[in-house]
Amino acid sequence: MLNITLTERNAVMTFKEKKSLVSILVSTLLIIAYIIFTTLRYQEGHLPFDNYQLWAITLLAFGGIYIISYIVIHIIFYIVTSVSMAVKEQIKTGKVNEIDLEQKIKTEMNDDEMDKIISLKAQRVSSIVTSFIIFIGVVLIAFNLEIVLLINMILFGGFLGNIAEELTKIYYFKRGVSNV
Amino acid sequence: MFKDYVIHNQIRTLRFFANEMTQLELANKIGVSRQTIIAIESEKYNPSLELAFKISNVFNKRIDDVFSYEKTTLKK
Repeated sequence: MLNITLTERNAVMTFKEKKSLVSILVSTLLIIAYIIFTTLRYQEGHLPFDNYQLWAITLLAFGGIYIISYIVIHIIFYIVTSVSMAVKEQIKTGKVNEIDLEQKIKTEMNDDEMDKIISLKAQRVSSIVTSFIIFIGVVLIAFNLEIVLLINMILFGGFLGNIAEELTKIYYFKRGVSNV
Repeated sequence: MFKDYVIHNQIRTLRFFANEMTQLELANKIGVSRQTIIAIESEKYNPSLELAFKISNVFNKRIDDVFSYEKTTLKK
């Protein structure tokens, strides 16, 4: 029996792992931007704790900014990845076969059955994290703390849920996933 | 959780005998990512029945020539 070791596991990150890292980066940057923005506005007196409408508008605005920046950054990421794959192919073989390259890009970027299982598991983690943070927010309101805290915790719940989802994906991409 | 049975596969060996077919070539033929092939080969992911049949068809083998369901042996 031919004994071949399974050592082809590539140490380089795959496209999907990089995609998850980009998502984490976008979420982290936007949380930081939100914290800086609201802190500065609060210190200047433009964002008082009792003006719930203004806080809600700020939250919605950042939600919108998050969605738009997420889409834009991912489009840029897809373009950069495709170009880098073409350049690598050019360096490796000396020529680029467009049909082969297109197939290669499609194969790397498409979600297959393993990705779908990983996504389901990651979404479950994300829901738990988001729900838990919102629950903590409600508990804090029950202890008579500012309602603004709940508004902020909804946003943080969403951001942290997203980060937890992407970290879970990376974990399962690295470790493998069971079907059960 | 301890599993009584595990699914082993011969994909690496079969790729070797198929003129050293790359993981990417196999991935392209069955429509999954290379990452999924890596996970299946290293037995970190058990493919669906449909995907298992697709892999077997690529190598013109029966499904039980590629995948085997074996009792776990405890390592001392």
